[in-house]
Amino acid sequence: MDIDQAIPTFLLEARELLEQMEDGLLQIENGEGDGETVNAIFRAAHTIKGSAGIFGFDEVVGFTHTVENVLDRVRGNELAIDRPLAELLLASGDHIGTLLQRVADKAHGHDPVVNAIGHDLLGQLARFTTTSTLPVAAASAAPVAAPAASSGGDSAITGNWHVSLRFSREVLQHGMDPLSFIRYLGSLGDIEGIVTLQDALPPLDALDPEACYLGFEISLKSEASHADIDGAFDFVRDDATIHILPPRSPLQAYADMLTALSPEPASLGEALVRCGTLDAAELERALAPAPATTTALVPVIADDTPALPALIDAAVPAAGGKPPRDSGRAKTLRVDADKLDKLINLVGELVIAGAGANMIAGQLKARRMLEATSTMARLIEEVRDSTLNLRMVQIGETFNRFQRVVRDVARDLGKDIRLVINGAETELDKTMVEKIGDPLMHLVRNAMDHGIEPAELRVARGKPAQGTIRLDARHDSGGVLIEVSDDGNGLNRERILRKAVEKGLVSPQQNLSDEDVYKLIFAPGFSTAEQLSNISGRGVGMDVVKKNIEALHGSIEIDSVEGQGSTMRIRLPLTLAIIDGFLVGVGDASFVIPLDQVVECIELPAAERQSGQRRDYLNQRGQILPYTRLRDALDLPVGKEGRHTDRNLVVVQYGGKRAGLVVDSLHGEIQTVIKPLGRVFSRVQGISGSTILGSGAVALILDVPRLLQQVTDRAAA
Amino acid sequence: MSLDIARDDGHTRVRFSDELNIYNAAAIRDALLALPADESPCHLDLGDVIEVDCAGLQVVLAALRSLPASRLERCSAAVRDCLALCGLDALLPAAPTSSGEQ
Amino acid sequence: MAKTILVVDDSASLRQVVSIALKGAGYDVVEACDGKDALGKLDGRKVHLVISDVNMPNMDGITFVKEMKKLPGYKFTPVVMLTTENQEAKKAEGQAAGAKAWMVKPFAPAQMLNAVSKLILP
Repeated sequence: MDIDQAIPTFLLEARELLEQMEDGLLQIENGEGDGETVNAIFRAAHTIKGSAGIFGFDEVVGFTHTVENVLDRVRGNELAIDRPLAELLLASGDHIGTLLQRVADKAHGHDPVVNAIGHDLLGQLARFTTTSTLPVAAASAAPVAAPAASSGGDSAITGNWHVSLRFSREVLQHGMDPLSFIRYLGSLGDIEGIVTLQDALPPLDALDPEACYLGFEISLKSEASHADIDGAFDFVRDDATIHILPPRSPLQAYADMLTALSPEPASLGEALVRCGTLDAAELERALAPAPATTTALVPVIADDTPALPALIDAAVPAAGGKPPRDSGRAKTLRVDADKLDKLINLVGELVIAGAGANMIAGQLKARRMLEATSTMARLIEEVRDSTLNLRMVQIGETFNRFQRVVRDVARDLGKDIRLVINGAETELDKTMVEKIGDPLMHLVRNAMDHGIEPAELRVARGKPAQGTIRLDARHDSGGVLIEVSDDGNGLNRERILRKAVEKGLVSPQQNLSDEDVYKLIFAPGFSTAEQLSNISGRGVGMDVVKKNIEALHGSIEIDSVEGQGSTMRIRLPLTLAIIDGFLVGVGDASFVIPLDQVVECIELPAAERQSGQRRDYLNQRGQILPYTRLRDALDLPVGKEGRHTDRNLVVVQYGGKRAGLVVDSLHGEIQTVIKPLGRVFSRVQGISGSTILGSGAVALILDVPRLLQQVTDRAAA
Repeated sequence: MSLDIARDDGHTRVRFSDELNIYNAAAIRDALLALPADESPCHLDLGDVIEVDCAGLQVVLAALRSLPASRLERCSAAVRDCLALCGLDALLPAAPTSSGEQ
Repeated sequence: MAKTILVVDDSASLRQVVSIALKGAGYDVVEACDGKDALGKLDGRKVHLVISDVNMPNMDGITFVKEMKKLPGYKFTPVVMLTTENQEAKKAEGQAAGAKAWMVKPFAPAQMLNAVSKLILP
């Protein structure tokens, strides 16, 4: 078995555990930790050691083992974590991290520096692992669940552990034999005394042969740790009440256990005497009424408290099991992005399958079935939204990065610029947030470099000396609108045009709107800066910015007033995965138009349908509405005569523009999952993706911004 | 599992064999309850038991408490191990003889 | 008399590693590749412990345990479930079906032997 392939998993897990350990230690240092925090820290070390063992990473195992021992004593209340110990444990955690890095780097042999650090730490840790009674500093974070009264430090003589077991009636039915756990205990040391308690055993005629009635009091001579002894009962936690008392526990601890287990502690106490854990005198002292319990409250706070050595009352809560690993941490869950993507893909398939069921129900005209499928469709929609929501993150984190950038760049440029952020709480898909960072960075730098004027010029223009860059985000018609604006120069129409003519991008005769002129700066290789600086790059910027935004199914447009500033307006869909669409047909083919871009559907006037009468625009309620036949726009083959009705006109809008698309048939709203386009389609203008319909047929998703562009261009031409 | 019930010398002798565990604890309990209710001592012969678990042990313990003048007669190694494990050595017959064991 | 352990897992390599370790410790081992196969192995032979994966083709571990508990001769056989997921729901389902002992994969052979010895010694 090639276990090496599991090493990355191990490293990831171990690092997370180390983080948990660190968090826990910091909590304890701040006096916030409790018993569970200590347990979590212990388990982290324990698990790292355990899994490192599988792979034979002896360095990690050896060192972590010592750390675990110290933590085990903390967990057993033999030791409290005070500041120096917390620091030592934090340093030890760092060292485990170093050792893990060596594993990751496949480092062989010995690194003298690492070895020296490890050796030093082990030396310090050793002071805490010795079993001799160390004074326990009673730090405020001492994880003593309840400050049990110690009977004046009177402890049992016995050098043996005491293990007390009671089982649920059902334990046998669960396939667990209590005797096997006792046998296992025997393998951890010597059972020097054991008493089988038969009090609960009914007479033969009342005996349920499948129920467990026996209890056990065991005196165990063993060098094993508390964790190892406790571990014997891992499989029976839900079915047993287990008490484990370390050697020489305070008599009070035995008394507490007896009281917890029996209404007649004294008679149960006899069993402890019989198994050899206590002698008769100790039992008597243990059960004697405690003198003054108030003494117990004071020492917990006082620094010079006499030690409460080894007060372990490991009464395991019946339903305890393993407490959640992350209890006490924020209520967030880290999920592997791949898992999330898989879930979203599956939800996508579910949406399609649901649409399919709905369609069949419709065809069958089965009313009740239709009701059922529409209920399901609604639920699926909710599941879809919640699932997509999982990927939604606020854009604020990305925005905030720019504070630092603006400060630094402004200093480099010798300009005084402030950044104002609005709508940081606007959420969009995580992938989008990640991918929009670079284009935004470029735009911000560009605005600082070319937009904001030098202070003298600003003052001369009657502006405040300090320039302002704004980053705004908000939800807008089903997507997100992000604006990068500055109160600087604004774009210089003449300069852009001159440059574009020079570069042969446009002819001097062309009559271009301001908007079209501004768009020229997105042309490859276009740069207007008279002086290239190292801030906004070498003129390879804006075209790349545009390309990146379009890759996200977004668009960018420019608003600018010369002398007053410019605004770059970026529109992005909320997510790349799923959209609400409107299904239309052209001939045999189906197309999906993103629903938020559909304004209305109207019947194309009969006169317009005559092929000889193509004017490509309509007078709609007094407004000119340019339109195109989708068949023409996409160069679809002309099918059989008569199949093209050209009956319907879908009015679409995007970014303030409107146009009509002529199609043959309307099929209504659907939810669609966007699948990336195959290579064949990636060059087709006007198509942004594909999707599978409930019927199994493929429909293409229209790239409305691109189509609008075509239509309006032609209308203007 | 089989139970072999015989009467000799004025006492009832119940001989257990094979396994004495949760799978047959109910059958054994019922067989023991079906013993004639007289006052004759009952000897439990566990010399041929090859496996005993907690459920089996409980039936034996309950029988010893419920049946008149009952005691263990012979114990196999498996039974002796079990009794020793539970600190119940006192139940072992004074001079243990075993058979059916390796 | 050696105790018999039924090892149920769709990964042949895992069965092999587990089996080698158990045999080395003195247990007898019967292997099955999924729940269905495992039910077939419960043909009256004495099985002292079952070690079963959760996710398996044909019949998953939890269904297998439920089925096994219906067989008179195996209803009290202890089961150790092997799982890679810390999915509490799965575990709760398995526990309701009677699988009380769980082990998270991967584990070192020694760990596995230690766990097994808590339930039965060879």
